[in-house]
Order: sequence, then structure tokens, then C-alpha cells
Amino acid sequence: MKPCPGRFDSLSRKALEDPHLQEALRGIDERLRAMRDAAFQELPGAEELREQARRIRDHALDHLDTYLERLEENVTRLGGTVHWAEDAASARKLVEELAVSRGVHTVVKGKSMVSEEIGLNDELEAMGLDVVETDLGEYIIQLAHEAPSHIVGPAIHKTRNQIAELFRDKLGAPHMDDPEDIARFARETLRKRFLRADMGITGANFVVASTGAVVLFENEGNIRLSTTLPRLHVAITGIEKVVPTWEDLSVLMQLLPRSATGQKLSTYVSLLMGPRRAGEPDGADEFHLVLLDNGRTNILADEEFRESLRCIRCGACLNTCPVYLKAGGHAYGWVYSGPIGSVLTPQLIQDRRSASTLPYATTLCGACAEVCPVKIDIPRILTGLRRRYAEDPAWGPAPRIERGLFRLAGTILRDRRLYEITGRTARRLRPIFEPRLTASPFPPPAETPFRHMVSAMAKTEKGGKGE
Amino acid sequence: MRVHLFIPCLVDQFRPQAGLGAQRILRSLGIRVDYTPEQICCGQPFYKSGRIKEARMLARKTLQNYRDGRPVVSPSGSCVLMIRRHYEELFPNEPHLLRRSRHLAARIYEFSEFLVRVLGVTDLGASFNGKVTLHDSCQVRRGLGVFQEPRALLSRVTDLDFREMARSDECCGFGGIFSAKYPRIAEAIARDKIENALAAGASIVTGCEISCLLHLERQARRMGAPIRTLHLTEILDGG
Amino acid sequence: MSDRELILSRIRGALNKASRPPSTPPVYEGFTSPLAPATKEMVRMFRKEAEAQDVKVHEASGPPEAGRTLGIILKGLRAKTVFAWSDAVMEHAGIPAALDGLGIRNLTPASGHQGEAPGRAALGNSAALADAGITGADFGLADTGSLVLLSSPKKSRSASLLPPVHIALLPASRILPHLPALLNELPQDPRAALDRGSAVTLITGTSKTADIELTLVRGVHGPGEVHVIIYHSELSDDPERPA
Repeated sequence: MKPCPGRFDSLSRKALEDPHLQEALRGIDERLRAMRDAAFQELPGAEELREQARRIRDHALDHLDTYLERLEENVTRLGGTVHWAEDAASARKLVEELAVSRGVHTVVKGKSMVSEEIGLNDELEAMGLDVVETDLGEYIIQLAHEAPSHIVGPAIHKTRNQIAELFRDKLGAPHMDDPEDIARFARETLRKRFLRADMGITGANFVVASTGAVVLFENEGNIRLSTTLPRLHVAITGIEKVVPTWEDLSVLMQLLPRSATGQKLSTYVSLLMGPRRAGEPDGADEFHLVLLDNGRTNILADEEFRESLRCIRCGACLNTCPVYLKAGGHAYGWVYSGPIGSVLTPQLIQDRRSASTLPYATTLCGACAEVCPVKIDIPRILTGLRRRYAEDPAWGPAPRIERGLFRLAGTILRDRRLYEITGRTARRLRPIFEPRLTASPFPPPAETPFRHMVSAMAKTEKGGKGE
Repeated sequence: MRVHLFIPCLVDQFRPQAGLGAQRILRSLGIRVDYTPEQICCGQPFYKSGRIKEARMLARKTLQNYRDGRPVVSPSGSCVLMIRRHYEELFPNEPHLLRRSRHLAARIYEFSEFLVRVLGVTDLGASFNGKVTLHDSCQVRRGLGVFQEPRALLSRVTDLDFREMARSDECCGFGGIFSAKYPRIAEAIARDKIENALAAGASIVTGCEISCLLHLERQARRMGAPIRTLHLTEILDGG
Repeated sequence: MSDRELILSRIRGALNKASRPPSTPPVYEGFTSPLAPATKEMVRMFRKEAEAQDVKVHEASGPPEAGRTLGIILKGLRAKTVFAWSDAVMEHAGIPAALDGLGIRNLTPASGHQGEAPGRAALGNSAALADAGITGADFGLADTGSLVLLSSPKKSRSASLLPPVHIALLPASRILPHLPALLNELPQDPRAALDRGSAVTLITGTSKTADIELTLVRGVHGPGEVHVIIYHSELSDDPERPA
């Protein structure tokens, strides 16, 4: 997708006018968020577990080189191949070359935010490959040529009627109204593709350094199909997804599904260790793991923002964010939306400047930090990003007018006389500007400010006492 | 006891009654209240917009105004949080100011927090006739951990009909510069809040943070909803 | 410089070796091995959790009764064909004989010589055509009601995935208390993993999606109906005293 992270204002206004989307967002609030909260209330020692998860993620990041090398060694030992991709183009090229050299025709894909991030589908389709997203939500948005609007529920913005219509137009489906029927139709259509696919592409929720395992969570079964039936399995993941051992995985595994959907465990969790062993009846003959940087090492180098890389993509911060729950995912203008999108997009996107308004798409209410399973201090990072954009030439200086206004306000607010004169003048001028101030967040000011009331009272008191 | 009453710019300009209420209540408890008109803004809007230079300048001025070591009490939770939590971030390389920041952080209190936690007072002998609900501002509840205190104070007000609303701890949508940049979203969030207050049968929304209350007041007017907002001090002072 | 060298050097540059914290990962107190064998309480908990996930749980006194229970389930489904594992557990429970008795055909292709899988397409198609998939379960997890299946030459991954119904035979003695206990059981070392199967699959409930208007639909890609037959050997009531 073409990134447009600078259009939050216009896209979010559009979102507010879409009643279906607003209904869907209410659904997220009332269901996903409520289920997450309930799951954590039931989990004994939830706070300690979050703290443990934070420690594990920080530790893995502090020794990222060590763990990636260990991971590579172990994946290789298991018969898999590890590839390194320093940017999106390099990752696309790797997959492309694999597809060509192995004579691939049909590719089935499991939901992967990283693959959205690098724009893999367009590339593979341009090569003439038959590429199909198999997660029901991803399949829907692929057919509609849209971007995911939620990390966990990519097609959450579409109604059943819109989906049924899409299936009719693109797939020749009969008229359907029941989600059961729509899902069954998708199952049958996609099953045929699975059975003839040569290559399965997935992301990875975690990769375990000590055992070379790729860990995948899902509820539908499409990821299992993508990794069980085709002869090739390619997993693409960000370099930050590595965890040291099973022990560490056991902590994160308890937190991810609970944070994402309120489930104790997703329906299917696959721990995949290399390609099919001799004699095993199914599973891929070849396993490839692509480790993607694409800006992540820049975040790692930035001590103020490094903790952004702890993120395990659960989506809990989206589901609890008052702004996301009104604006929806598309307003954020790229693959990662919600609070974590406002954190990641400015740091990952090529043209940083274009994302300068995203750190303002938050009230800094702190709800996200309360639910984050790895305790990322999202409000702190967003405030820090605002400062980078305002002050750091490497991030592009803020518009001159804005800078001037802040400087002026600072001057007024530090000088009592200036402040009081400004107050008086503003009260006098208000009748002139009032009609134009429709967007002003406040009601009109009081007739007399506190300071003048107090000094007036003090005078009266003094007078009364006859001093 | 003698304290400073910090009346930040929004209270000063938009809701001076909240300041007067705070002043009267403190005095009625036998506390000597100092107010300095030199003190205007704690620097929060600048800090949150990444304008660290201006934030430092205003923080320096605040530290100067309150350098005498007396407790500072303010009816504005977000300013208290700014000073308590963020001032020290502003002066990492200035040990003198860092020390003063920490010292001030340890003796600045949000109004209801000061009454309940420091003075141990909940019953002010106040009375207020009305159906009241409380909005837990994010900076107050999540930031300062203050949410029982205003409820404890309200529970002792004669004739007051307290109505807890759904999601009282959800953001009102103000968010400072956020509502200036994205006013439509800010409005939409505030709308939910007003609807929750109406559903609770309240006609007054109160709280410990004036910016949220002003934002909600404006939204209630926009919707034509029979809701007005009063700062906690205004209610405790008798409305 | 290769991408590998480039990325590793960027990481090393970013982390500034000198100031790095200790290199041992943090210890997780909850990562305990199960000290005691499965108890009746764990079986009860497994049942409760699995049923909460819409799994139909059956209990049998031993392998022979488990085979009979399977027969009743298959009859109820009017299954004509199945896709089944062919490991020792299946033999032990008399599954092949039971299937013969019911006139149900097992579509699982006979496995070829060492290293030679049955044709990929043939296998997938057979599994997809079967009315039910029958597997054992290497472990159960009490606190989530999960099945744990390890792949091997006689234990296909497809059997629990492609047919619309999945029936699993779980020995009660293999129920572990929770997820950390399972990960503690798995080989910690890839050399050991190489001798094991390539996949460990955890199954908790039925295949489902909420991608259309957040409405729950079962059986979207995998089985929409899951049965677990827990069969008992002797179990201890007391976690301290092994059976």
C-alpha cells in the first residue's frame, strides 16, 4: 500500500462519517477490549507476568546479535535456511528469487504484518504468480484491494453485506447474508488453492533462538495449512521477534492471545522446527526464514525509543485507545495503526517527515500503556517523537509558523504583565473572533480572571479592616 | 499550616470560581493560603508539544516562585502531574534545578489529594443539591492515582445525589494540543462521555482537572444536553 | 557487505558492547516441570476448559473402551471415511479393527520407505476428503484444555487439520498442568529436536474466525467439530503420591 501517514485529519473525519465503521469500532470496544480485560483479571500474577515479559524482551534486544546468530545456527542445524534482508526491497527480492528458482506458481499466505510492511503481494503478483491471502480477513481486503485496518482483525471495517457483495463480484458467489455461509464459501474456495499451492508464506509471532523454532498463533487454521501442505515454507519476520529460550516463550505465550483476543490460548499454536523430517507424511520440504531489518536497527540504536521494539503485535493498545476507536485503522495511513502505529510508523517509514502529525494523534491518556503486555511506555515515546519533530533537524524542523506561535506563547506565559495585557485584549477582541472560533475546544473565558478577583477581594478586605 | 495555592492559566481565565472555592475551603480549615500572581503556567502544553526550551523556561520560573519549601496545592491535576513527574526530566544536566524539581515534586498536591491524604479531611460540612457524576481525568487517575479522594469528599456532601457513570475513567478526548489538531475526533470522544453522564442520570459532571471539564462543557452545549460542569472545589464550596 | 554482515554490524553499533547488561536471560519462576503425574483434578480441569472451547469431551476407562467410544462418535457422524494416524496408540486402542467393523475406510496412504512421503497432492486430497481425522495426543494441558500433537512419520499434521471433524485420543496420564510445563518437557536443545518431529501443534478448541462483523464462525479452515476421548489408566488423587 502507498503510505499516507500525514492524512490523519482528513481520513479520521471520513471515518467518523462512516456509520458501519463506527459500529465495527464499537464492537471492538465492547468485545475485544472487554474480553482482554476479563482475561487479565482472571490471570493470577498478571502484573508479574507482564514485568517478566518486559524483562525478556529487553534482554533479547540487548543481546540481539547473539540471539540472531544462535537462531541462525539452530535453524540451519534443523535443515532450514536463514536469509537476512536489510530493507524491504532486499526481502522482496529474496522471496522472488526463491519462487523463481523453485518453479513456484501458487502462493498461499498466512496473515503477516511484515509482509504488508514490505509490500510483498504486489511484487509477487507482478511476477505473474497466483498469490492468495488465506486468513479470512486478509482474503477479504485482498479482494477489495484495501489495507488492513486492525492488526488482529484486518477487515473489521467491512460489513457482512459489503463482503457478500465483494464475493459475488469477484468470485461469482451466490447471494449470501449469513457470516457462516460467507465463511464456508471462503473455506471451499481457499481449500482448492491450498491443495495446489507450492509455497506458503507466513510471518512469525516469535522465533526461539535456542531451539530454532518459529512460533505461529492463529484461530482459523490457514497458517497451519500454509505450513503443512506446500512443499516450500517461507517465514518472514522482523529481527526483533527473537526470544532466547522455551522458558521465555512460555511467558510471552501466556500474554499474547490474552492481550489480542482475551483467549487463554489461540486455537492453534504451531512450533515449527525446520523442514519435514525424513518419513514425515506432511510439512514443507524446504524451510526458509527471512530476517528483516528495514529500519529496526535504527530504533535499536535510539536509546530513548528502543523499547518500541518490544512490541509483540497483539493489538491491545488499539482496542483500548479512545482515538483509534473513533478514527479506525486506515486513518493512520500505513500498516501499523493505533497507538503503536503512531510509535512505529514515524520510526520505520522511509520519509519520516511525512509522519510528523501521527505522534499528535493521541490524547496521551495512557490507556495503551496500562494494557501493553510488554509495558511499552507509549505516551512517553509519543511525547518524545513530538520533541524530535519539533527540535531535531534530522527529523525535519516544525513549520515556522508553529514554532513562532509556541515561542510567542512562551514569552507571554512567563511574564505576568504581558499575560494580563493579553488576557484583557483577548476579552475585548473576542466578540470579533468568536464566530470564527467554531473549533475552539473551550467555552468563552470568565469575565474576570481569578487573579483580578483575588486582588479586588484583598483590597476590599483591607478596606474593611480600615487599614 | 501555610500553603501556596497554584492557580494555573486555565483556571485563572476560564473558571476562577474553582480557584476561589479552593481558597475558601483551605482557609476554612485554618490554613493560611498564599497566592502569587507571578505564577501562570507550569509549562505542560510546551512539554507535551515537544517544545522543551519553553517548558524549561516556565519550569524554572515555577521553581523560583515556589522556592520557599512550603506545600503547593492546585485544583489542576495535570499541572500537578507535570511538576511531580516531568520537571526532573527537563534538567538532567543541571543538578541544582534537578534537586529543586525533586523537592517541589515531593510537596505539590492536587487539591482533593491534599485534603484527604495530607489533612485527613473528608467531611467539609458542605451541602449541594444536584445529581452529580465524576469524570476521572487520565492525568488524575492514571497519572496521580487519585480517584478515591474526590469520591470520598463528594460522599460527605449533604443533599448531593452521586451517580457513578459508565467508563468514568475513559479519556474525555481533550488531550491538549490533540483537540486543536483533531477537533472532530476530540468531539466524538466527548460525546460518548456526555452520553454516559446522561445515562447515569447526572446533570452535573465534576472532576479535578479543569481542561477536561471545559472540553465537556463545550460538548454538552454543542449537543444541547442538560449537563453542566463544575470543578470539585466549586461543589465542595457549595456550588 | 552482505545483508547479514550489514545487519549484525548495525546491531553491534547500536548496542555499544561496553555497556551491555548481563547476558543470562531472566529466570521465570513459573517455568516448572510437573512434579507430580496427572491427577483427577487435572482431568476435571482439562474437561472444563476444553468444553468451554466447544470441544466435546468423552471419557473411557482404557484403550479398548476408547476404541468403542470412537466407534459411537463415528456412527453418530455417519462417517464413511477417516484419515487416521497409524502409531502404536491407534493399534493399542484397536482403532483399525474398529474401523473395519464399522465398514469405514481409512484414507491415509500407506507410508513409503524411509524418507519418502506419500505424494503430497495425494495425501492432501485424501485428508481433505475424509469425514473425520483421528489422532492421538501426546499431551493435554489442563489449564487451557489444549491438545498437543507432535508430528512423526506415523503422525501426520493433516489428520487434525483438513477433515471437518477431528477426534483425538488422549491418555489421562499425559495431561500436564499448563503451558510452561509443556515447554519444559520439550527438548531444550536443537540437537534433540532434530531426532523429533518437525512440528509441535497446540490445539485449543475448534477452528474459528471473527473476521466478519466480529461474529464467531466455527470451522473456517480447520475442523469445526473437535472430540477428545480421554482414556484412563490409574490416576492419583493426590499430586504428591504418584499412582
